[in-house]
Amino acid sequence: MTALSVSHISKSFGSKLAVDDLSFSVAEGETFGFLGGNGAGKTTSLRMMLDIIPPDRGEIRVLGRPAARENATQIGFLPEERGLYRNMTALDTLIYFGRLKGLSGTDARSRGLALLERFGLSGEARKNIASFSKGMAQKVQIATALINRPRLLMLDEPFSGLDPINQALLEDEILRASREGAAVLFSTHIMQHAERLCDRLLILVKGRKRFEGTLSEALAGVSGNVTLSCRADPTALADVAEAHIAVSEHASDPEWKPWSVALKPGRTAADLLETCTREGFALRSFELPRPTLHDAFIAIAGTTSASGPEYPA
Amino acid sequence: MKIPRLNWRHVLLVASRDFRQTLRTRSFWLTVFLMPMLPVVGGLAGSRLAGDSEREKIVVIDPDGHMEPRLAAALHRVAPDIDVTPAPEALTKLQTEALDDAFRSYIAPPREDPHPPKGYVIAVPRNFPNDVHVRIWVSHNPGHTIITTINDVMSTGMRDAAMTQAGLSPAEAARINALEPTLSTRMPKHGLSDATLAKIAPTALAYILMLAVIMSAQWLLQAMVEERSGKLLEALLACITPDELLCGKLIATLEALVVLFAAWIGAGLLAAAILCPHLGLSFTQIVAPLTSLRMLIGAPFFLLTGSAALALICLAIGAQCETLREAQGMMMPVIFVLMLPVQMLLQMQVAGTATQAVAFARWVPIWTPFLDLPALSTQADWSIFAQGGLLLGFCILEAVVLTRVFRHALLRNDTGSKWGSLVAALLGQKDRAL
Ligand SMILES: Nc1ncnc2c1ncn2[C@@H]1O[C@H](COP(=O)(O)OP(=O)(O)OP(=O)(O)O)[C@@H](O)[C@H]1O
Ligand SMILES: [Mg+2]
Repeated sequence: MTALSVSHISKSFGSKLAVDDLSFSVAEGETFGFLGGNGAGKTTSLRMMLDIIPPDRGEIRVLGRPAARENATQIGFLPEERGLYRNMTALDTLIYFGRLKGLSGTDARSRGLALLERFGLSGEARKNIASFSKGMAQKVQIATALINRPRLLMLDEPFSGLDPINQALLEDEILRASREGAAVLFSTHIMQHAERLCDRLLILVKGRKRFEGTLSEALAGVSGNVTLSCRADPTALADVAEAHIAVSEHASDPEWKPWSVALKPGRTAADLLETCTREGFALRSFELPRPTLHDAFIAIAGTTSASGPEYPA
Repeated sequence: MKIPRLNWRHVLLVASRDFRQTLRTRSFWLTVFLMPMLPVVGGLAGSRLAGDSEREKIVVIDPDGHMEPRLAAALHRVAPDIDVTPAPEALTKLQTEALDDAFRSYIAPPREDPHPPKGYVIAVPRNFPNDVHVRIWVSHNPGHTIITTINDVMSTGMRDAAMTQAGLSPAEAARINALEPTLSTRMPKHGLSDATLAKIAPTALAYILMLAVIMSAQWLLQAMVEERSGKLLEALLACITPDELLCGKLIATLEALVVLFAAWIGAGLLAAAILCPHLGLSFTQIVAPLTSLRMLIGAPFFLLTGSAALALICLAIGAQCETLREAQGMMMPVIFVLMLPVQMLLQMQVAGTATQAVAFARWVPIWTPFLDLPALSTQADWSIFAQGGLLLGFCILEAVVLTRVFRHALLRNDTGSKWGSLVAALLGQKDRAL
């Protein structure tokens, strides 16, 4: 079942078009990466899904219902800007948010205690947030998002500002939630997390969707450069390799020069190797490209003009 | 106008959290307790000072013993609190010079005693009507009535003796001596008319309202800025609507103000109960105006709507600001402009001057509660109702404007002029964020 479906939503602030005709959907149990650079419109989109701001156009359905504040009982949300009431205890904070999300006082208390226990904060449950370190407060905030055992977890830049230990903790929580059948959507511009966690991802550029698909689909779209060292000039491979750049002018062996060869669209490294063999090219090394999501993101989002080439969605 | 649907569970959750938060702040309890301490402490100090008169003592040295009972009886009539005692046997035997010495230390007591005993020593000479030199030692400025009474008693004694010597029977002499005109004096106590007395408590309510508004501005702004400066707004708004948040905050504010009013009015009554007897005022007379039906209904109404009207302004300003400091900076001139005339108008109303200006100001909703609270029992029904209705309408209008301003300011990420965006919100420009 789809946990979240967004169809053709747009939002502008004054003359600024923040989100432009965005559509996608997230299935239950799926972890969905919502990627985009600064100002791409991630936070604005999340706010529309949470009914904090209404879209100018388009429709959003959350767990089969129109986006509305009432869905909050089923949603866990970690906002981009972190903060808690400084003069409240960790437990009271969790109880407060739990009750706002429709839990009874006793349920909220027991779940709050369980979460604090899980996050290693049971000793601090009754201490004021003001006395917490930043990392401890972040854990409490993650717990506020999880207190109602959400079926849809929305996290806006969840990893920013977390130390590696808390990052690992959050990754565990995301995996646990998704194992328990929750849909997880998180926005980020740190690609490693997306790479590790996401079943599918979406790349947003200036409010427009540039890519939606699985990680391998994203990587497939990236033609990484093949690095080879050969004696001859690889310009001869013109029908396969689009361009070639000398990696280093000062190679250890002047006879074998290292080259970075960019494949032409639609051609693969196998095509290149085959051409080399056919043409009788002497090769000392042939390194396949190992593109990362980072490369894919740069390749997809790096084209700054919104009218740039569309990647398969 | 669309009336927003509120989830009251959310509203009450917000209200109870905010109220408990306010109860946890030191400034709230300082405001609640320290302020009323001033009149109570003042009252206690006043009663201490007034209580010193009870320590006055009069010692009468009367070797013949004729005049002492008459002095005691007469002095007891005029000053029931004063002890009049005959001097111990040893004293009566002392000569004048010795008496002077004996009382020097008594009359000029050592400096370090902060509450020196106050007293009179009256020495009636031996052989009184023949020797008429009555000496009085006084430790302090002698009370006028005491001296007059002593004079009266002694003159009566002298005239009695003179008349019996002239051949009148003692009964006849006593009768002539007792002749006196019937003087009836009418003077309002302490120069306050009943009408003025009736104004004291209601005017005090108006001052309580004024102080409450000024003092509470601080924690109102605090409450309003809290989510924004704590960067919690977005997390909250994912669960509840801005209207629910605002409504909860308003309820919490009113709850806190009710605590404040209860504490202050209670302290005011306590102070009045302590002070009144010493000021020669009747406590019941002061408090009676508060127990009229109009007051019992009107006072809570005007206290609540009046504080709400001003709280809503505070909240609107708080909603514009990122930090408490910024909010205070914006709030100061507003409080100043709103409250400065109140002080003047109240004084004019009590003094009964500038009646036109006061009558006009009564129709300005911001000032209505301050001027109507003291005048609840003297104003015509219709004008109280009309002004109360106007005030209520004003509060509702404010609430509508505030929701607008509040939503407008939420999640705003520009840093432009606060007043500018406040005006923009008021003029109904399209909400940028919502
Ligand atoms: N309340 C608002 N008023 C005016 N403009 C806004 C508002 N919120 C967002 N914008 C604009 O919309 C665009 C998208 O902003 P958004 O916050 O959604 O980006 P983002 O993808 O979350 O960026 P980041 O990674 O920096 O958080 C930006 O150009 C921003 O200036
Ligand atoms: Mg963002």
